[in-house]
Amino acid sequence: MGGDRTRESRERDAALISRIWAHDRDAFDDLYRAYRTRLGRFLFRLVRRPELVEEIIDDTLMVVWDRASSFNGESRLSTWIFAIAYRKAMKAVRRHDEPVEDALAGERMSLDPTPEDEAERVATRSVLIQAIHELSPEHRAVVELTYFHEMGYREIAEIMACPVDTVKTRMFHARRHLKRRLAGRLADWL
Amino acid sequence: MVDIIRLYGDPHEQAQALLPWYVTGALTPDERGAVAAHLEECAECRQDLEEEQALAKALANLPDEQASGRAARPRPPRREGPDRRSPAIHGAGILRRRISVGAALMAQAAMLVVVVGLAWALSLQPRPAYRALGAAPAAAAGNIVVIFDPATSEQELRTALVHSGARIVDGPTASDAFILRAPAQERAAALARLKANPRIVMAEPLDGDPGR
Repeated sequence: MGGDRTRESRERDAALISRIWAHDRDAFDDLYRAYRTRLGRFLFRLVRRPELVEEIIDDTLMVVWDRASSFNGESRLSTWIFAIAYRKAMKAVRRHDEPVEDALAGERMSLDPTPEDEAERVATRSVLIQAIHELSPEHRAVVELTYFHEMGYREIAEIMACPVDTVKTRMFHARRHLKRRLAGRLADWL
Repeated sequence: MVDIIRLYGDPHEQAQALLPWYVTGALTPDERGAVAAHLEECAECRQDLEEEQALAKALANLPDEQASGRAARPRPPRREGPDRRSPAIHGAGILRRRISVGAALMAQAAMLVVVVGLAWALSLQPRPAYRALGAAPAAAAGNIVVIFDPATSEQELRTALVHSGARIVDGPTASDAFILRAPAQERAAALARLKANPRIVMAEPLDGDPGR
């Protein structure tokens, strides 16, 4: 799969992690710029509390800064970083065990209204987001990593530290739930 | 490393399990071929594929709620410090905050070591008063990081180093990097020589040199 690109990205990873290992502060900024948005989106789906998301991102990046020497290059740097973030997010979810209120529920209906206002699509999005939030954090993580971060099931299994079949099973149940909740609405996206 | 997972042993169920990643293009070529072959002969899976594509499109088009939420409602300044939306400044901000705490702890620990060491030294033997404590020469800080091709022999490594004029001060690290030191005025030339060496995968300056 994309040999040159894989090699390039591994070399980039190696260069970045070596600079971090050597505690080059500019490298930390590069790391922050490269991962802040991606981690933010992923973590928000899992924990849904903006203040927790910020904290987990900071903690995750500090682990990378402090333990760069434990990155052995067997996986991609992004896989390693997402795995750290995932573990921290699941800890946070367990710590805040109360049912998670959706922090942005009030704003959801007004997300991105376009001038032409595709009313149906907006409604579908709203149902879809709600349906995602009804999933467990583990199921949400698989959905988010697959569809938004475009990761394969092996990489997701590595991040979640579970067997690949578990990822497939979680995906199977998540899709079934989402399709049920969207019954009849998916035609908008065909 | 191709390991086709025989999830349930049944090609139909395998294809069903892999459809999401077939749609997002995240399968290996072998898996992709197997799913495509099954799609050819299975009307049910072809219909599911359409649904999958619609679902993937709908999901991929969801707005980043976190970003929308941040824009819609500025959060209270939970921590003092620079503008948290500016990545570069914020990255440095995290480090400053965390490292200053870490540095304070390390300074305390260092102080403890000095005090205990001093007490121990005094209790052992009265030495001449001018002898400095812990006066071992400080290790020179590295100013270049290099990664060698894993197939590099020890001899090639040595030749590359001698030729570059830089010396190893640390490494190999867990990621197989070495930290080198070259005299400041000769670093650029040393770097150029290292970069030109085919055995060296990466050679970069360290310590935020402005000339980088």
